[in-house]
Amino acid sequence: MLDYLRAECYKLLRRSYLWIALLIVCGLELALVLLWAGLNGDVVHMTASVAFTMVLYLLSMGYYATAITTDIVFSEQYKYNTMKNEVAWGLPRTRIYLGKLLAGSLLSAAACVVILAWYALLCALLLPGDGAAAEALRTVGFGLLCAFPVWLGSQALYFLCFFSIRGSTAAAFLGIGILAILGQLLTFLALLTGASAPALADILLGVQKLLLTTPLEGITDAIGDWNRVAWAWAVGMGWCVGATALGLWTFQKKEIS
Amino acid sequence: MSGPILVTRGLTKKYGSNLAVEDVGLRLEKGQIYGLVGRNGAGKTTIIRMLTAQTVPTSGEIELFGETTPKGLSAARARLGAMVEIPSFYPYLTAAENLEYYRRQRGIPGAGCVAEALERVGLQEAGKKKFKQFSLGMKQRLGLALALMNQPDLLLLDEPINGLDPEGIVEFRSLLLELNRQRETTILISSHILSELSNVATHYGFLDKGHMLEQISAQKLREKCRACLQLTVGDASAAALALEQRLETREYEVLPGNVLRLYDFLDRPQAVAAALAEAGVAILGLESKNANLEDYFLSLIGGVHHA
Repeated sequence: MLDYLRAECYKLLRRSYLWIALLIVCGLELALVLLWAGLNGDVVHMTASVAFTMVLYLLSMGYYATAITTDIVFSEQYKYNTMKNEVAWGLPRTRIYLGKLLAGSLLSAAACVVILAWYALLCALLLPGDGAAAEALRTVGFGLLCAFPVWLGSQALYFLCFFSIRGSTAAAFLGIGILAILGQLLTFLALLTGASAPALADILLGVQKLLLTTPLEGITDAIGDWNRVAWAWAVGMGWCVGATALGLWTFQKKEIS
Repeated sequence: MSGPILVTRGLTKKYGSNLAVEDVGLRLEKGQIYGLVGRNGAGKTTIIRMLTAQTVPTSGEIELFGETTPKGLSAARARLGAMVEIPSFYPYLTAAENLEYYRRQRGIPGAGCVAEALERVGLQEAGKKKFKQFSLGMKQRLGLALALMNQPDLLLLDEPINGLDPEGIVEFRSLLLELNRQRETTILISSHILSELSNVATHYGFLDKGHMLEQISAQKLREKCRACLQLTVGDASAAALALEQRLETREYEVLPGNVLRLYDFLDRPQAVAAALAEAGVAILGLESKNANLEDYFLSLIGGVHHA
């Protein structure tokens, strides 16, 4: 597994896609902080700690960022037919699947650290301080504690899609569709059936609580709520294990061309 | 290890109702160069894909280096080098980077083996070129470099000379023969370019519509394809006696059905006919035969097809 991860890292670091994506995100962060710094005055008063806690509103971006890291790691293996080079040499399919999932998760974590560190540095350098840096770090840290497991779950979901579907674009759209639309669909159905079949509506809303997107809803109001952390970890890990088990099962049977 | 390198028993692959390969039994001994011959769609690639775990057999067994269990086969495949269909690599990486990626993934020690493999296939100058800029011939060479990188004991090559220029074909042939002679690498090579196959193969397997029609050594095939006069006579014993006494030759063989194959007097069939006539042997048929691998294959599948 270590050899596999080393090889994946070797490939990842040579993909311009990774560096371009990171540069774009870091550039957008710079533009945002510069904008706040420029607007700071009598009307707008954006301090470093307030700006940093804005991260909480952007935690849901992690659902979509994991689609990008999955795409970077999976490297369109089916389009380029490179998967055969791995299975033909006797690498167990379980190792291939878990190796890529682990590489994707490590990449996501590393990218998250870089993006957050860069943003924190920009806030500290370009915005005025207000003595609440420690509190801001605690708040964001708590949000990340909830976000990490559900991001991991979404990463596993994307890998299930990428391993199961030949086209990377279709796979990414399916993953995003499950994450973005399923919750809204359940809400809509619960509203629709609420009057005529309240029991069914309750079930639908109960199912909605098990979706990956739900634990981060209203996270700004749940800072310090450890029940929210436990719920996020249960949902995130449940999806991670479930999606990985399903992905491994389908990949074992998949014809590799 | 003294046992066979590769054995398949009853290997079968079905895609829905389509039987791609049925009950194929292969046996490769160490040092053989086994030519898998068949038309497009005969099942050659499917067999190689099953051997390389790209597809799961519907039924049957694969024994590789004595291993038959999934775990054992997985470990045994580390001794394989394979090139299946058109070689595929990451287009945004250079040739050397692609090989380095797989070297690390497979845990092959020594970074020098990448340069060595590239040099072996004549790509030492193209190591820094991105794969997407490669011609088909260069892709074939890189595919071969990957297959050779771990110094395999068994090479599985599926249509490996497709896209190679004449010089590349000659180099490729020399490389295979060198590997086979120096390292005793066993090679399974599928091709529909039979003339090329006949230059390297020591054994053949003839496939048609997913069935193995015949497996034969190159020596036996040469004997079967040897130029001869084929005589169908009334009495084979009398004809044999006449050939020995009147033409003083023993270069013949008697086949069932009063058929004789004479490997002498090829340019004088009238002398043979006269000798037999003088001995009172009725000649029912006389034809000159000079089959090559293609003719032999076509006679096996029973007609002219695009091999």
